[in-house]
Amino acid sequence: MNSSLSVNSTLTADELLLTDKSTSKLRSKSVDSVDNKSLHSKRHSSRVGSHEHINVDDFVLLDDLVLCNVPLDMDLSRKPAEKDLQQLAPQDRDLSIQLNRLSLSSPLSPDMHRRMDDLVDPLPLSKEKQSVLSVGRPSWLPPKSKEEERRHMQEFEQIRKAAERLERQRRHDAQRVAEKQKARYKQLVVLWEQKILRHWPESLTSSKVKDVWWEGIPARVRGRAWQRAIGNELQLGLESFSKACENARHRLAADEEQRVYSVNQFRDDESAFEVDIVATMPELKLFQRTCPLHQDLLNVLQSYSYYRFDTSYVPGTSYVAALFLLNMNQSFTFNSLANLLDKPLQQSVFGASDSTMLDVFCQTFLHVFRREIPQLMLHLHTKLDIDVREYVHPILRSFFVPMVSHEIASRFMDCYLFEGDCFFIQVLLAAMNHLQSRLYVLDTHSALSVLTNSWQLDDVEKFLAAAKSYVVPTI
Amino acid sequence: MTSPRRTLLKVVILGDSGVGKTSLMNQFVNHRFSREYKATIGADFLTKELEVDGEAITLQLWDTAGQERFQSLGVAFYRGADCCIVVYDVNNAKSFESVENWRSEFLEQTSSLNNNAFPFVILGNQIDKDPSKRTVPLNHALSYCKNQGGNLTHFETSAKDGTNVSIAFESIARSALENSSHEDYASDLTGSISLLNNTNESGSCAC
Repeated sequence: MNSSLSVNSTLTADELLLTDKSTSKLRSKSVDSVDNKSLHSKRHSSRVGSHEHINVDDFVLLDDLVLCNVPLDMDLSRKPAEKDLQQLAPQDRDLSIQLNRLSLSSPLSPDMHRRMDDLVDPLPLSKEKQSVLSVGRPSWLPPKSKEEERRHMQEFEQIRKAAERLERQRRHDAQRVAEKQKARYKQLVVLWEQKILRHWPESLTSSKVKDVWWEGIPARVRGRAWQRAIGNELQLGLESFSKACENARHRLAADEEQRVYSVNQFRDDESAFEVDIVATMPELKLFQRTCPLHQDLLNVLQSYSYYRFDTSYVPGTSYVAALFLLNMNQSFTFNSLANLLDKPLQQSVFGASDSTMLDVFCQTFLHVFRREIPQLMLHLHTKLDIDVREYVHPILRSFFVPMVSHEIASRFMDCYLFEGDCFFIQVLLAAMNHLQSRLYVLDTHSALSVLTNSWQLDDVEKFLAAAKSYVVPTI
Repeated sequence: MTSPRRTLLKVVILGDSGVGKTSLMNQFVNHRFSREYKATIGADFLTKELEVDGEAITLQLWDTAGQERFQSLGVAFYRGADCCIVVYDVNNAKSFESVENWRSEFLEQTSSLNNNAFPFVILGNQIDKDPSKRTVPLNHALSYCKNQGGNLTHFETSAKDGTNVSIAFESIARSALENSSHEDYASDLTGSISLLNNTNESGSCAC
């Protein structure tokens, strides 16, 4: 700030605010923007014109008008430098000292300034002024008439009561929704336990059961329902896991004993597990080293790696294994994992077979994508030239675990196991729609990052309803 | 190889946040108490080896977060538990009211076949505080446990000075041991009956 300004010693302390130059840029900017006329008029009315050399950065005089617009984060505790004080005329020096005393004894801490609402005077009011002030009106404005004040209080009371009513209603509604959900949950538990699981698989075709998995499978039956839906084509028994687990352990021990430092696949897998486990639902603190389910997850991954010795560990296996472990024990997790990853699409995704199924999946997805959201499809695949597999592959092999919360990933699994591969296309489309605004970016890397990191999904019901609405041809 | 086989028992500790679940566990396992409150995230677990009626057992204590946002993980936490501890704060009436919610939530999630037989141990903690601040009288808690009719045991404890802590946990270990020998609790096992007979997964795979 270049202009200089002198102190008008006739102003009362009440109306003055003294600051110094070392406070924030924000303030000087605000002062810059102050109506120049008011500053000029002060300069002209100044009785101590001879002290115009005092830099405005040392003393800034703010009137009420300024106070209305300036963020009040000034540092009141600073004293002006000694030499600056010497440059002042005696009466100004007195004022300066007075003002500094005032600012030092001010009850307003800098913190309070920041929080202060515009209606409150920044400085204590005089008794005379206080006696005429109206409630709820800034002290620098003329007071209201009695009639107006009464009316305002009445209106205020009405608004307050209406807000209270609304709040009560909102609480009441929320409670009713919660009760309804609870009741529905109980119904679903009975439906799954008494009907679906007992009369499997005939019950699945009944009209009462149709689509019921879109509502989510109740937690207490989820594990059993998933096992049933995945099936056991591989004919794995209870002993399968313990045998694989034991053998994996033996191999690890033998490896350790012989100090085999040569590269082998199993060893590679071991380090790959560690990397993946660290990133598996880290917010739950359940699977990482020293956490309660760490050993379980490691057991499952080691056993699976031993069981599928023909392929090396595919990143992402840890996610789906963890999702299973939240709902079933190690042994069933192992069996479900082995059976699920043996399905045609998963074989293709997890590299156990050629990529034909994955290619078919991607083609079908692109076809529906072009039909449903053509602009975004063009943007991603023509403008940014992204290969569809660049995001479909990481998403499919992680079963959406890094993109959504474990609850939502479980809901997806509920539907996937009953709806089949088409459901993944529906989810991808709903995700494209949900992420649309974030996907119109100009570089491939950012677009891929949006797709393969958290989707910031809050309303799973809305999302699933959108997913369900897409018509997808069977693959 | 030569040491006698230890029985591994899983115990979950539930209760509202701040009642002292972690402190109780720390007092029992490490004989330590910290004044600082640090909310548990997700779950944590400690193990303690002890002998009950001549049998060597390892208690695996699962300390859960009392906060609501972790309740969706119930199935994973409660699975395979042999005993459930529900803690309340004798100076906090609300935490006592929640005891029944925690108990029913546990039974709900685990689909325990025999609800009345599953052992619960209810602990009224923080009795070291000023008695004038107490809001849950002992007889209130006792009559609740009696009226529930299930397998409920009650103790009042102080994680701070250790009052009743070891007695309570000994009783917990005994209840868990008894329950595991019945082994009629098998939430995961009901689905594919043909496949199962003798699983002892945690035993065979723990290292």
